[in-house]
Amino acid sequence: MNRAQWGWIALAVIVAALVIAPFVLPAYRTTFLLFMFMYVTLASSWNIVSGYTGYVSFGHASFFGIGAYTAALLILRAGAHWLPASLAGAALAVVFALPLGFILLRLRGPYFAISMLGLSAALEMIALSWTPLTRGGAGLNLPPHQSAIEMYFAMGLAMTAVIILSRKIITSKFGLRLVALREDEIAAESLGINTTAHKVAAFAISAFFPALVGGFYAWYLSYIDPNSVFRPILSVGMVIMTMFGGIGTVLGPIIGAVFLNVISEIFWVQLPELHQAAFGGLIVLVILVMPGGVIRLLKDRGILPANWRT
Amino acid sequence: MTMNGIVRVENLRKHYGGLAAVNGVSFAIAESKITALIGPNGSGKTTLFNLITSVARPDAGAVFLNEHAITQWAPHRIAARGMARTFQITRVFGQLTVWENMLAVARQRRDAEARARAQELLRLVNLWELRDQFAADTSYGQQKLLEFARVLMLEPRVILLDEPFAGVNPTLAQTMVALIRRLQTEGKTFFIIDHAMTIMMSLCDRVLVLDYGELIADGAPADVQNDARVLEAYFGSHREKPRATIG
Repeated sequence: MNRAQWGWIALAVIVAALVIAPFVLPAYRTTFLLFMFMYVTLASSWNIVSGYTGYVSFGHASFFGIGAYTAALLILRAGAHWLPASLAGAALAVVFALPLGFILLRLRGPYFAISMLGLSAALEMIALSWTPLTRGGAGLNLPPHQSAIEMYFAMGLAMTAVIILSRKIITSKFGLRLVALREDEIAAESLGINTTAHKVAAFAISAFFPALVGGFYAWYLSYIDPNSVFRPILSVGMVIMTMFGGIGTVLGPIIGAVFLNVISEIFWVQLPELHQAAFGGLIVLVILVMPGGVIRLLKDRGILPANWRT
Repeated sequence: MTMNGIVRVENLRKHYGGLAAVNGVSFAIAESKITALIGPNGSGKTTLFNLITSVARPDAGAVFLNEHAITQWAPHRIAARGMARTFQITRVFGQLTVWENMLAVARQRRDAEARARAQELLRLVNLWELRDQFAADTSYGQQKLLEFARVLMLEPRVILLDEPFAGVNPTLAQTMVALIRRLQTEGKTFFIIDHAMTIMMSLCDRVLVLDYGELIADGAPADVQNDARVLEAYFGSHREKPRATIG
């Protein structure tokens, strides 16, 4: 068997194990995996705009929060089922991202990053002060429910969808053009690529999944408040996980999210008092030692081909 | 002066601070001809290219492509309409391979068509063997050739080349000259900036000369070479120091 066939077998084993996992693992482990799926989804979505086009967003929690609030309100006020409510939140995030991207993606480099950070802060303030709708800092309580299994599979499917989509994009002409504009926007534009349309499309796609899992998150935890869904660490987390794994590749955000979640969990268990500090220290170390992430390391060692993006 | 041409510019102006980079330039370039744009360094040649392709917006004046006003168009629209350019300092997509650089800009209807054309062009400029290398890892001269091949992927009718021969070895420069001539016979229009005067004077049908943002000469190569104002601009007979050489 060749390498690709081994790869498919490994993938099939992982998928089979993950499908069985919630039925055999204790609830705590299932929850851990559920949140890992969520972070893989967030990092992979972020990578579609920031990794492929180079427009680094420091405020992608904006979309997570929009999804969480939309879903929660639809569930509470309209009695909607969590799934259509979450999908509606994702659709709203896309509708919001289109004009927003058209305006903000004119800013380059740090200006775009900061404008996104400002956006999520502004949305958090709106959620805090629009009390009649959001109940402000008191947050929204959703009906409680027992099983994590339903949400485990919902998160798992969202993750699978964004991974497949990431791969479809980067192996398509659309993806090639996103990377082209990342490498040289003026050249891409001069060579007939409508860079604005490409950037906005990537931005809108990357808004969909964070909002979707934001809705799942609200339903799963039965409670959200402005700080929990718009918190900057969520935005920064997407950046760090993707950078750790390898920005601009399909595999990178997956590796980064899985590895950092596992490490964070170990630190949490072993060093409960110091876990934040130890985790932060590890991230600094990793970025100093391997700035291109795990994928770059594998490329430099000749384990992956240099032009590997999937 | 006749004012018909596939590309026409009318009274173009562009100031950067107090400097008039392009100061009221008007001309038209004829279809299926090779027109040269020369002038000392800093005379406004690249700025003029930027204005024509909308990479920079003019303060005043207008640009026409086939008599359509394109002054306010986005650059990608102009490229799609059939006028494309290369850059003085190469702008390849560094983290894409040579091959991907070609495919990323392809406008051919079918994929197979784009691939066939990319292969043909890469062979023409001797880059076929390097197709799987990152563009960033190729030499400056190879990047120049890649830009040249890449702009042809668009099948443009008008091609603006900004210093295509700079940094390219003489043998490859001759390959490019032959290719430009062949494309001209197929009906393509070229507008070329370069300092390689020997090549330019034999290649081009007509020469425009810019100095301090103004058009100071326009004519056949032989006439322009002996024009008093051109010689003055290059050799500075009334100026203290020469700013550039003509050969």
